[in-house]
Amino acid sequence: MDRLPVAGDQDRTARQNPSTSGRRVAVFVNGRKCKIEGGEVNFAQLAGFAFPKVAPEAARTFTVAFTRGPAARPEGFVTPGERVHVIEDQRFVVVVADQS
Amino acid sequence: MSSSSPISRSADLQLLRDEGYVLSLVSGMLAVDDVPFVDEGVGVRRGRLLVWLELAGDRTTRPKWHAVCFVGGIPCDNLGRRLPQCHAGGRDPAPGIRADALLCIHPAGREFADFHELVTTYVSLLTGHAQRLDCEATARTRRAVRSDERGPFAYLDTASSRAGVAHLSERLAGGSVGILGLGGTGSHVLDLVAKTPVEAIHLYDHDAFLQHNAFRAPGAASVDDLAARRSKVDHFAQVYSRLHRGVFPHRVRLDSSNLHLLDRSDFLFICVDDAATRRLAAAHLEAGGKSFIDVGLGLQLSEAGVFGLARMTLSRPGARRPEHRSTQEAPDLADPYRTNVQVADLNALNAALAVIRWKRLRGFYASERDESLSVYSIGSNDIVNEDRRP
Repeated sequence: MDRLPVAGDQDRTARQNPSTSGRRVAVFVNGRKCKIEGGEVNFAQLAGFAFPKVAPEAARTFTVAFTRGPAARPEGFVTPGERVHVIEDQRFVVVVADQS
Repeated sequence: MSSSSPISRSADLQLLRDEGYVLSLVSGMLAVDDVPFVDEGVGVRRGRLLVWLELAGDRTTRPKWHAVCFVGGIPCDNLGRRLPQCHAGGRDPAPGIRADALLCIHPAGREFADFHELVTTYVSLLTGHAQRLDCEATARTRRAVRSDERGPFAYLDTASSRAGVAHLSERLAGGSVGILGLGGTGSHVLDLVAKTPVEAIHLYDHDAFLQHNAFRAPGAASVDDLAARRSKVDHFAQVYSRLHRGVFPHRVRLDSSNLHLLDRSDFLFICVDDAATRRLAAAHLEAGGKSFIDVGLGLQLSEAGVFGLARMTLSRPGARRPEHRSTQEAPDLADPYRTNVQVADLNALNAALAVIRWKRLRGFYASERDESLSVYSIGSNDIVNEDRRP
């Protein structure tokens, strides 16, 4: 697994600019670095990055939260069927948040 | 559980009552009624002293605060001049009670020895001037009063009265709260809700309280607690009845035959792992127009350590959540929580997120947004919110 970057590692200009379509950006999904093409990622892709063996229907139970996103939406959730812009170094956490 | 009364169990307060003072407890404060004083019109009237109590259990300790509130007017001397120890106005000392003055007498170089000395000092100050106008004026009337000592707590909530937030605590008073699931998170929800003045707390769970539960629950269960092999609801009801009078255990495995038990709660915290139970309860509450909060942890292991989310989801009439209607079963992931990794801190945080949201709904805490979904992300130490859906 790649090491987690620290502040200053990345090109700050690229991080602030969401218009990264057309080139690859590196995001982190459950702590693992993933390359995203086209500047956007959808729920199914994120679920697949996190848990490749889980069937798409079962993956609908995942809670997907992100931080360090584009200035227009720096944090939030991705729901089934939804697609979000991504920038370099964005963080996603994908889990089933149902334990008590 | 014995009925507690600081007045009858504290020597200094009992002495005051024996001497004929009219005492009662109001929102955690000692009220002394029928105290004669001279008002600004040089008339003799009667007012109420309100004293912040210091208690250890059901008994008073030495006073740490020498000022008292006065209700009924501005105390003056026998010529109608405001007493130098009197400061007009001030904060509300208790819900619905507006203090007219704050009185301040400080024994030289010390605090009062006990509440008898404190009360008699203030009464002497006020009554002394009144007796110059009416020689029969006395605060020792022996008048019987209806006591409001019985409240939701087994002993008085002096923390709220001392902090001056008793009027805010009233926003949490009354009504009933249910907790479905008394695992790590549900037991911490109970720990927090039991310290609020709700009228009733209903506990729903069918499991026994076992050793591994003790490491996720608040407090420290004894070996005897574990050996008793009580149900979780009976264990926690016994523990928290020491603090709150209205804890009711319901040892049930929730199904369609006993869903009506949830109707005893005005608001429910759903703290269960089982998707079917969560769905069943959510559907019943939605049909009944009830609001509820559903919580859950989602953890995974990495080389960097445990990461994941603590989730809080609020469902209200007009703002229901689609995930509560999903019939999709969650995949069987290797969640370290299922192997009993010790994360009582995350249980406590998850519970706190839920209880804080409930207290914001009730107006105890200020609320500048209207989120229906919040998660705490361990790795980034962020709280991510999603506002109420249209």
